[in-house]
Formats: sequence, C-alpha cells, structure tokens
Amino acid sequence: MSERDEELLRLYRAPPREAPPPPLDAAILAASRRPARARGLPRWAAGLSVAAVLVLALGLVLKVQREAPDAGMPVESRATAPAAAPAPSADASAPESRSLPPQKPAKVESRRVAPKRPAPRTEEPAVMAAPAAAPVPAPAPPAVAASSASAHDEKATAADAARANAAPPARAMQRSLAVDPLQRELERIARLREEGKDDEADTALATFKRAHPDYRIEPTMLERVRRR
Amino acid sequence: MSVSDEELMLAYARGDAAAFETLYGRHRAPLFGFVLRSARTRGEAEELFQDIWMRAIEARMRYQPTARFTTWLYTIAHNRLVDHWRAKGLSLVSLDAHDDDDGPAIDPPAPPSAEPHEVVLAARSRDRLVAAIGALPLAQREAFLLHAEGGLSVAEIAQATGSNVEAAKSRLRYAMNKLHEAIDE
Repeated sequence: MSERDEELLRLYRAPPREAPPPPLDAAILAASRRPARARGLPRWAAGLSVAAVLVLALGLVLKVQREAPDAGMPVESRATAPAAAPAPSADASAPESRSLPPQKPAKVESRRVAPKRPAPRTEEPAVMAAPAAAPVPAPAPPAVAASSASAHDEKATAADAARANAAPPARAMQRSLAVDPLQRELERIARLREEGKDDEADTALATFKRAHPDYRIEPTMLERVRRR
Repeated sequence: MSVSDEELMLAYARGDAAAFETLYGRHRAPLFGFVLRSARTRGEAEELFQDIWMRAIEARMRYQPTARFTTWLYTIAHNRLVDHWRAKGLSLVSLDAHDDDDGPAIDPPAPPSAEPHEVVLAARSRDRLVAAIGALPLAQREAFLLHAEGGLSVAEIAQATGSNVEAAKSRLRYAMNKLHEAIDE
C-alpha cells in the first residue's frame, strides 16, 4: 500500500461515517437478545430429555430381563436349560435332539438363552422327563388335585407356549398328553364325544370337574369335551 | 485490554447478549458504510444491513474463530450481496476471474457514467470520490470497500469473497488506480 493509497483512504474515511438509523439498531439488538434468551431452554430441556430417556431405557431393560425367562422362552427351552447350563456340549442336548429332531432351531435358541435363566422351577424336571418316558403312568388324581391352582395354570401356560412355538398340532398335543395326565383324561372324554358317547362323556366330564374344580380347561379342549 | 471480537462472538454464542451489543457497536458503522456503497439506495442498504446481522445472529452457534471475526462478518455480507444482485437479475460473472480488464465482474447498476474519471469531472470533493467508487465494477468496488470499511487485508478479501489472493489483489489494485485517476483529474 503506497503513500498515495493511504491518502486516498484518509480522504475516504475523513468525514464521520454514516450510521444505521436508531430503529434499525434497536431491531437488530432486540433480535440478538431473543435467540440468546431462548437458547437456555433447549439446552436445559435437552439435558432433561436425555436423562428421562436413560431412565426409561434402564427401566425397560430391567423389566425385560425380569420377564424374559418366563414369558419369552418356549417349553422346550425350559426343558433343556438345566442340562445345557452346566455343560453346554452336544452330549448334554443329545437326548432331546433324538426325541425332537425337527425342533433344532428352537433348541439352538434355548441354549443361547439358558445361561441367563434363574434356577429352574420345581415342576420343570417333571416336564423335562416326560418326552423320554412316553408311556408315563398317570399319577393318582387325588395327588394332582392336591396341587395348587397356580400349578395347574402354569402347566396350562406351558402347554399354550408349546403350541405357540409353531410345533405341529399333533406333536403339541402328544407332548401335552405326556406332561399332563389330566389332559389325557380330557382327551379321552373328547374322544368319547366324537364317538357319539355323549352320556359316557357327560359322566366323565362331571367326574373330572368334581375332582379338579380349579383346573382350567383350555378353550379348544373345552370345545371338544362339552356337549354340542 | 479490550476483549477481542472473536472472544465476544464466542461469548455471544454461549448466551451472553451483552457481548453481541459490544460487537455490534464496533462493527455497525463500517458494515453500514460497506453496504451503503454497495447498494443502489439507502432503503436497500438498510434492508441488506439488517439481513446480514440476522444471518450472523442465526449462525452464531456455527462460528469458529479460525479467522478474524471481521472476515467472517464480511463473508456473510458478501454472500448476502451476491444473493441481492442475483435477485435483481444482474448478470453475474465469476468473481474468481481476474479483473485484468476494465469490464465489470457483475453488471453495475447503470451508473450515469461508466468510467470513474467521467464521474469525478462533475465535481471536486469527497462526493466525487464516493461517486467514483459507485462507478467501479462491482468486484473491484467490493474489494475496495472491504479494505477501506472493513479493514480487510488482501488475503482476507480473498477469503471473504471466495476468490483467490491474486484475484483479490488485482481487484484492489485496479480499484485504487481508477480512484486515483478520478481524483487527480
């Protein structure tokens, strides 16, 4: 920048600079304050939102962890869990593999889930033993009747879960018959009904209801055993 | 020791409204002069001036002090002016092109006389200089105003206008020469 250039700039800058009108200044300054004030809220709200999301997510995870073993696991999974947990080898699952060959994908899943499960419930060993001992002698009805209503409900739930697990209906029925002698009795009554022996079926059903007043008959089975 | 423009802008981005007021007080007059000499009318200049500051306010969170605040502010001003000229339908020639010829980078808004020295002949005062500035090709005028009003160096002019240093230097040199010629006559 030469001396001549400096002179030219001095000439240009000599008079007082023109300024924007005061209303324009006021408008710009007012606008500058608005977003500056508004900024505080989103930052505060963002922090609160993050905290709320974390709390909800944590609660959801805990809830899922508490409920997952009961709600999400099919009957077969429960059955294999105790065997797979101590020694997740091919030998450990071999018996079930033989008894339920088409269920392999479900088994893989059950092995994956099994280690996370809490201790197996008391009725599970009985359920587990059932497939291996196909012609299980039915326990005496009074003994079954002595068990609590909730136990019956849990068995019914297990049977439901087995059906929902996309097993073929015949296989599911066979499994439920094996695990629950009461189901076998109901199946017998249903067969009587199908054969037209309604009187005999009525008598058997009445006897069954007297012996097991708390037993919850599944809707599909109920449809089959009652008089049409 | 006064707080730098960059620190003030960062403080404003953090929510300090007073920092913006200080910043605005420092730059309002030079920026207004720059816009006033770049626009056709005072009304237009006021509208552009407000838009530029609004853009700066909106962009405060993205501000990074990698360059002087002045360069950042005048970059916004340049972009707003380019938008303005385009909206006016003025034919735009690449601002990166070297202005080695006397042709305008952007068609000027039809001054009464195309050449600065012809304008200066009408009177002999600072008004003549201002008139000569108005008759400069837009890119040259912008380079001169960025230097004279904003105090930007050649490199900063290049940065603010999105051109290269050689082009900015050439534009400023041509502008100065033309204004000297206009005054000397």
